[in-house]
Amino acid sequence: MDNNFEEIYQKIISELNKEDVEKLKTKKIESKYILIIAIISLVTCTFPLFIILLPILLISSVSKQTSNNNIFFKQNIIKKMIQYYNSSFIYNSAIGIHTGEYSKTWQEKYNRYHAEDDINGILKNNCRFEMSDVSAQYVTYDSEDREQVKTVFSGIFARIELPKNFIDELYICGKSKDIENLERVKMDSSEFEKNFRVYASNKIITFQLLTMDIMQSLIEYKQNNNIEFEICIKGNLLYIRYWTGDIFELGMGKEITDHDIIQKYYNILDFTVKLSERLSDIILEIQL
Amino acid sequence: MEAIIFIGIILFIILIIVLIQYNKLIKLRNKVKQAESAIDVYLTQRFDLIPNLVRVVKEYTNHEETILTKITELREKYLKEKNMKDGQKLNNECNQLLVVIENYPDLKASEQYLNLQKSLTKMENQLQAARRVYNVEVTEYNTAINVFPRNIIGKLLGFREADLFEANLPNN
Repeated sequence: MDNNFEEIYQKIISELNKEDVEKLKTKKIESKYILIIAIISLVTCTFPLFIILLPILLISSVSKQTSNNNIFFKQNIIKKMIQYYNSSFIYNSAIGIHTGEYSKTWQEKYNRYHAEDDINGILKNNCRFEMSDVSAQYVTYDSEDREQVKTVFSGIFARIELPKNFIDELYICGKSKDIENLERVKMDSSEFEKNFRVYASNKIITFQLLTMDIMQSLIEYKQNNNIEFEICIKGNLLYIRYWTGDIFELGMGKEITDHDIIQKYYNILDFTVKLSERLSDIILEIQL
Repeated sequence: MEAIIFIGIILFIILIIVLIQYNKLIKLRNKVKQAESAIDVYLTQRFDLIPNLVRVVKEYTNHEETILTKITELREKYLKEKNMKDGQKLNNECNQLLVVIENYPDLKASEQYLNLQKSLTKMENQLQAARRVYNVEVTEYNTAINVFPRNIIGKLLGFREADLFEANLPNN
């Protein structure tokens, strides 16, 4: 890791091409004009025609603008932030973690999967790291052939190769989740027990891995960032998923330089990397 | 007659409750015993390294006879009686010896000792995890036998509180 967030943020902002940012802002103003013109037209002209035209006009204008902002945000903000965080990390907005990897983790049914915004690189102890924006849905059709979509997961999904194959299965889940066929392991931190549930195939290894420090860092991350996350370890693979929704896409009215949005993403990346490195250090110490 | 049937039903319900609670307490007590035996396994594994440790230390030192003799005696006692407190004492003595060894640079640098130290550290990590598991099981069991109605059933059926590993003991 090269820099802390504030340094990275200032670096990105100072390097931004001001003309490009101004152009994006101009487009925002243009959309305001469209809105005003449409309202005036609505008052002066025939009502039914404009009741149809107005939403079309607005939606096409806003979606075009949001799409432009998103492309700019990903290429000029996110990509740079990742490179400044760790120069060996590679960001590719077009690809994501394969569904075959996601399906190995949580025992959930889904039949529609999409992944993009992939980051990959190598961490300490030669651990391969990959993180993507993932959406998994379960789609069914009712008797009238209407699509019913249930979102199984939407957020950031990370996959890390650990240096040793050390436990069959270990899950750290939110309070409402149950994992079938695995024993619930109660941990010796009441604060941790308030926030998480642990299921594992080996109690001793679970306690070796979840030291007081690790448990404390999981609690702190959850409480400070208000993000639900789950961890799954299978063999030598560590999976983490964050219920963030699609955070790579800027919402309507959001600035591309929004400090909080960029920091949210930075915090996820930083937490994932640091946690993976600490866990890989512990695993190397564990006797198999 | 109706009163007898009524009392009979009440007694039957009480009996069922007692049986359910008794089974729960037995399960929790077994978990404590299981956790205790895991500690015993890791202690025994760690203590199996003692003869090698003593031999290596003797090769490099002349003034540590007292602690080495004490460790050997405690190990023999532990292997004979399998008393958890003796095991804990012996474990502390072993850790004390590792501290003493810091004063002998030649010994510290020897390959034999480095290998032993690595194994001892790994086993100490396992032991610490086993102690934490034990404390969780004991806490759950002790809480269960102190909460109504299990406190009454526990007392009647001879369930006693188990001891936690004290946090102020060295290496806990």
